[in-house]
Amino acid sequence: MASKTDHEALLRRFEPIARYTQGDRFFPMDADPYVRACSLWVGRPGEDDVCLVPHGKLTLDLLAERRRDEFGSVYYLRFTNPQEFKDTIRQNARRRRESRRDFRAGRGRLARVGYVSRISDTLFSIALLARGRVPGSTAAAGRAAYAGIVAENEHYTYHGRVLRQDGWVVLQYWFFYAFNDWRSGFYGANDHEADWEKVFVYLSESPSGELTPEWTAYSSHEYEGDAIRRRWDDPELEKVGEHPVVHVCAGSHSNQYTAGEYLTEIELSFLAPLARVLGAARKFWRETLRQYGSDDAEPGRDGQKPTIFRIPFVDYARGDGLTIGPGGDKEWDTPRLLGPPPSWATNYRGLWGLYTRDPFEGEDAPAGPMYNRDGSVARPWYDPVGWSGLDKVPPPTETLRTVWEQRAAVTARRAKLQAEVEEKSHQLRGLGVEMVAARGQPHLRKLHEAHRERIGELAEDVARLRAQVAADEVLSESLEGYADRVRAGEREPARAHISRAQQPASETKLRASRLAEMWAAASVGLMLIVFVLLAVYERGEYLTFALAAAISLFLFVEASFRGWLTNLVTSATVGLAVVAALILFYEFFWRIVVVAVLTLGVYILWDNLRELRR
Amino acid sequence: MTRPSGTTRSWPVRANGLLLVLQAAGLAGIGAYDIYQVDWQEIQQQIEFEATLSPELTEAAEQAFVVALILGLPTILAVLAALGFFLLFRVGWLLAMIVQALTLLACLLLYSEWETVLYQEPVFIYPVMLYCILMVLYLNSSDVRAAFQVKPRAGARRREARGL
Repeated sequence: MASKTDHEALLRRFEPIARYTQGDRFFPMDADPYVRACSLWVGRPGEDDVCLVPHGKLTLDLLAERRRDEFGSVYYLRFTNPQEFKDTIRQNARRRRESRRDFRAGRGRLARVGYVSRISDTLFSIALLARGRVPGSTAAAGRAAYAGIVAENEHYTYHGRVLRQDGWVVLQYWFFYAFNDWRSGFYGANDHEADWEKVFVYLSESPSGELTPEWTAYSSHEYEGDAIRRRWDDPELEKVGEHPVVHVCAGSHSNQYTAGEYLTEIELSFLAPLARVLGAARKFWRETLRQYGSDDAEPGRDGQKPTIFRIPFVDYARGDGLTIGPGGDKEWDTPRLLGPPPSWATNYRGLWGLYTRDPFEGEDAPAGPMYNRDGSVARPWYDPVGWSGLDKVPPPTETLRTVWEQRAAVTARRAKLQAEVEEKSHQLRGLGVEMVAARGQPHLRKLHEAHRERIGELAEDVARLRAQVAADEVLSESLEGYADRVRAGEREPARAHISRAQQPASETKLRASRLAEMWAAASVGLMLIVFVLLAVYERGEYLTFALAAAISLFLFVEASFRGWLTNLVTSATVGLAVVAALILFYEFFWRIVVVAVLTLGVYILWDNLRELRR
Repeated sequence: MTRPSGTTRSWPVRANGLLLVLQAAGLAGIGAYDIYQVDWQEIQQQIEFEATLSPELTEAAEQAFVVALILGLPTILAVLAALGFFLLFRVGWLLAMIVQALTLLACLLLYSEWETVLYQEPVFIYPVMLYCILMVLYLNSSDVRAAFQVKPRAGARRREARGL
């Protein structure tokens, strides 16, 4: 077993370089000073929350004490108390306004999405008033508290862990942030105290013990699987020497491979049934009617939940702020090792910050590196290889062996199947002979029928087995071909595993005019005002026309800004065609029925006569 | 106007061009028929000798005017769209869809409000509606859209530009 020093050396050899966005105010820190600045609380169902350890008294050792409580109890830390920081917040208000100038949102998120998303966003914002959420002053108090910790001891630390799984050596870099101020600082979805993010590097080990970096996986919101993984030779993965570069999103601390601005859409899964209906209608339109449809709107692809109501937020990973890591503005301090797991990581299953009781959980603080919010063990901790979808990929040093093993397994399976085919074919032939012999003998009628049934079943079985044998033969050849390619040093394309990677917004999108942005910000509210004014002042016969004209005008302007004029014209024309079709059905229903029946009759006649002529 | 690069004049494109010419001719014919139905000589005589018009003639002239007005624009656009199809201009497809939208809108307007603008039910709207529905389905079919959508998707262009 390698020593702590070896692990630390290994972690430092491949430690990432984190590039932040200008205006970001929270950076990876040691969990110890954070916990010392916190109080420990418990929330029990139907009771007021109780403070177990007050501010200034809590330590990692105290946090690690095992506690028993009733079902539904939630333990949580409180990093900030806005009351305590009242004066500091006021004093810092001016400084904060100045620091805001460091960050410019650029083209707003609303200008990048359509009306449905904008209306959903409005509803989401209104819902924040009703949902539990981090109070407005908490972010300011968090900044003040973090500034206090940094003033006492400026440090940039990650928590590291080295483990082996499925032949891989996994280096885990856990970044702990005191606060996630995505909503209050960067127009994002949520704020919460504490944030645990991670970057994993996967190494393969040669027989001589040499370690080679093969893959990386960066945490990004709730994504997992192939999409978050990049191969070491992928051009998208930026590296400085042996250090992968991470572009950290402002406020949310989500990690990206490329600098840029990412549109992150939060999905409302409770609207999934509605989206499924829409998906079925779209499928009918595209496949049955063979009509054109946009691929982007197709639900259910690449593991996406099928929902049309997505709320857009922009993740700013510009990389123009502080750089932490080898050769950066700041160097990493000595990592705090999580292997073997310290007792505060294993014993404390509660939240690492304020518990707001948000039903969507977005505003609740996360649990520690080892756990989910509900106290269950988190997958990145117990299955880091499976978390990034690497569990189906053998390390390069084991690929050839795995291929040969698989080929041997297929060959053995094929031999077994072949034997089964022969046995069943033999049975089949025997039954066939018996059936022929029994034919024409009335007293053997029952036997004849039983044989016929059994022959049918056996023939089906034999056909299925033969198909499996044939498929295995092809598979075996493919495995042999693959083994040759591996021996020749050929590798699969670096991005073959990625079906839909997150991409930053293109330059063209970001270059949209100020006017488009203003329109995006104002249009939903303006539309509602126009509707109300029309309903109040125009109640006569022209109200419908006025409303239709207003909607058309808004849609036309929107489509022009977004370059969707073709889609708008198509949708409007299809809509008019549907109305016209309904009118025709209404006016000529019986005539349509008669014509349809006549057409069917003529077709059948023609088809039958054509057969006669052959 | 831009041409869809690398596009040859395929069968669906040619067929659509011809169908649009047929539509333009049909719409123009309906307008001409309505105008032909009006006794313009009688109108001229009544204006010259009586200085007033009989209600029947006024209604007939108004109907011809309304029909010609609301079908005139789609007729002209249909000719332009047909030219777009024959000359393979990308805007041809968009124009063709706009023609269908305007024609359907005119038909729906006449269907719902004919009593206030016309003196007799315009029966021609039903075959026109049927024609437009079939045209919409054909224009929006994958074959026709493919003939006018040869540009690679934005995502593909980005990936290409990034050399991925």
